[in-house]
Amino acid sequence: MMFSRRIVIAVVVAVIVIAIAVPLVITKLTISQPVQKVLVVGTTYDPKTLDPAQAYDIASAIVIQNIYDTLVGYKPGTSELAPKLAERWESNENASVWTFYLRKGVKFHDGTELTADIVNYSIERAKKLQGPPAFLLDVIDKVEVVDKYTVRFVLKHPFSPFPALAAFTIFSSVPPNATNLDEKPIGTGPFKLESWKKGEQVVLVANKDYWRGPPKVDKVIIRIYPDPTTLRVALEKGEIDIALGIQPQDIEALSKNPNIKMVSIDGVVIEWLGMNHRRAPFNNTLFRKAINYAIDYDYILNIVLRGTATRLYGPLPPAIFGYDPEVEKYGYRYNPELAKKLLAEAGYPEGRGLRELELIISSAERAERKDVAAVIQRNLKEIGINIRIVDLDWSSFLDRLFNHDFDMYMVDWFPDYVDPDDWIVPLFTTYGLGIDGYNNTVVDELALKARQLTELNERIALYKQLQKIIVEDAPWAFLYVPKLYVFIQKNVEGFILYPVYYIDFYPVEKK
Amino acid sequence: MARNIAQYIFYRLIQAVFSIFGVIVVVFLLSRVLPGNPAIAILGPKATPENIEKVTREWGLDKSYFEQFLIYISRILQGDLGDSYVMGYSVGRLIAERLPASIELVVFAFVLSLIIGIPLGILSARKHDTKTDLILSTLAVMGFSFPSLLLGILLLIFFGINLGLPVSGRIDPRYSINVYTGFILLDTLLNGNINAFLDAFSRIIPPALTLAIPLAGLLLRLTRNSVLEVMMQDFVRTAKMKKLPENIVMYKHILRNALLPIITIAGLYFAVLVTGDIVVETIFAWPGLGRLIWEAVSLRDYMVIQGSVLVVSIIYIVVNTVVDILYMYIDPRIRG
Repeated sequence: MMFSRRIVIAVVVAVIVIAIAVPLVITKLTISQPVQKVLVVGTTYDPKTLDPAQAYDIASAIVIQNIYDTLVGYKPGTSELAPKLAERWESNENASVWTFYLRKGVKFHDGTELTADIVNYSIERAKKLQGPPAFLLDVIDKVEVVDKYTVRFVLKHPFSPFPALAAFTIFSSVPPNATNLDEKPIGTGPFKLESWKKGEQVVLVANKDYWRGPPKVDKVIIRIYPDPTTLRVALEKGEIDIALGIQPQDIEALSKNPNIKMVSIDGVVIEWLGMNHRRAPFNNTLFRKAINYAIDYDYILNIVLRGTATRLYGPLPPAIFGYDPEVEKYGYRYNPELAKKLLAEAGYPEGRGLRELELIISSAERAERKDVAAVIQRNLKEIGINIRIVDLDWSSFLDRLFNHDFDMYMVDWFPDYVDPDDWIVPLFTTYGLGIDGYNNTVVDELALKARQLTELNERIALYKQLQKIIVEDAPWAFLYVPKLYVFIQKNVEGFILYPVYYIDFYPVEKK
Repeated sequence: MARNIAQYIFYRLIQAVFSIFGVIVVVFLLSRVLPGNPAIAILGPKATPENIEKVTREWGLDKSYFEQFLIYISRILQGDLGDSYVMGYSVGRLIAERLPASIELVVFAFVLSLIIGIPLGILSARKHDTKTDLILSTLAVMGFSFPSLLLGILLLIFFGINLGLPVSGRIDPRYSINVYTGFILLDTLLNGNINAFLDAFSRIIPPALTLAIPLAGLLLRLTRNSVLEVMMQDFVRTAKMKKLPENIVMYKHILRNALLPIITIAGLYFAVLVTGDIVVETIFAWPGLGRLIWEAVSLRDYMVIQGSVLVVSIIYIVVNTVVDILYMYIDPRIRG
């Protein structure tokens, strides 16, 4: 009896000891690897595809941007356009024909040389495949090969943001003889794919023959951590060199960690509170203005978001050209007294005669959205408007948004191309997405005119006017612009953060 | 006897086929009843009505449910689970990539819970109504009532930060390991890389414990009660009266009978673990089946939902059939 009890206890203790102690002792010996310079990147999102014709999500784009090159790139650290595969470009009078002059001597990973024929092929291929981002090519009527290094895009209508569009991953050049690009991608970019285990990691190796010179690291491992807490632990343990996708609530603590550097920049994604203009009371501009004045923006920015976002005063984020700083003067600020007055003028003194309104959100992707919605709920209650928050999963949320089955919603917007056109046209014109049902013929006309002009200053003047008109109409309550954060280890240098979702491993060095 | 077993297995197989068909129908309908549409889920807020329509048509989602179902069934019969809308791959491949990770974790956790739960349960029964029993029973109840989200994060922090061990993921990304079996512990050994093996071993412990602790608690309680019950029975008294040594009575007479209900529960629970605890897989960055299903549901990737649930149900049915057959070997009464 005594003997067997001892066995029982011994077995249990042994298991626990082995489980904890053995790896503890011996992992001290295991850190003996790197001969090569390996950059380990942790991210919370899993790429879906590595084919530029199919990719329409940030996680896929991050990998694709490092394997392929697009025609147009960005100046380091900005959203301004810069030459990439195209050395320069020009358009005709009304921005309906664009000619791109290609860089000479650019080679694919398989040795094929980049030519105008290949650019043409890449676009035709993407059009034929009709992947999720293919609608971005709808503006192209035909592609003409002028000579070996000159390619001309004839558009269906004048479209001055075209070069900005040509920075999207679908404008990556792919070699004509390649098959199965999703698994064996061949690009002209600084890295080649070594392996991809879905849901786990992507391994890239340096392209020593890259046209800008070889990258500074031999290998990049992009590892997927679906839980942001785990990502943070991995960063603090030094398992990863760069962390993409740290949650806002962890930013403060991490910024105090002496071993970790924080890189941040104002982004171009905007978050807003949308309203359904097809329904009362939102068809009343005074009512919408009352909401704009009722929200305590500073509380949201400083307390809820802890300084991880900046205020959005109008339809455009500050980090892009065409943004008019004047909007910060005439935009809406927290003023509950004025809000109450406007609410009374709208015919609902102290909220009398109002039904309970519904605010739909999807907080799965952005946890902080729920807290922001709760503040808005409280602020609106203070002036007499009762709202109910409904938190849906992303698919159900989008379903209701597109069926116009909502009173209010909160969502964010990722631009496809960094040009004011990609905010104004889809979100505020009747020929855009028409989510809110906002309708102003002056906005429609000016936005159409702005995409046809080639002179930058003339365009900027038009967008200045547009911002003023839109803010005056108060189609939404403009909320905030989340900052982008990347955390990196002290020994990692050369990392440049862009306001757009472009993550470039090429200049990154490990000391 | 042998014929009975053959008959029994045949009967069970027929039952399994019907169960699987039922699962296919239910999952097919359920995934379509969910609000939302995969075309919108993928295109996001940029979706224009024309794009949504184009994608919907391309995926055959404009056909009637009945037509879609017939196409689906005829493809399954040819061994084709269809293709993912979102990722473009065949569903069979997506599952094959994730399944070994899930199975490895589950088997590891399962063995761990047996090793912890059953001996402690026996101990608890022997010392019933003493302080030891009380403490063990309390721990057991705590074990299976502790939320796995909290337990997982605590273990992540304890192993990762306090002990400084490698946690999360299956292995340090810097090791390059040739894949032979898909089971990382085996593969590292087959590669002859002992450091990589230890790294992987250290990483499997916290998620396996997160899964194992609730099951160990359950097994402890079950074993205790079951052993106590058998100890009261006549044949045990007879054995004891024959002055057989305590250990022989315990292991030959009591345990053999007491383990029967435990096998059933363990079998059911094993199958539940295979569905993959999404929470555990998410916290520990474990690329298993649970997350694949979760991602597929959130994107309304019907084919992946259907395919993976089908595979999980088959595993569930197979494991339980095996358990029933095992039961027959252990318990002579069922053989009839």
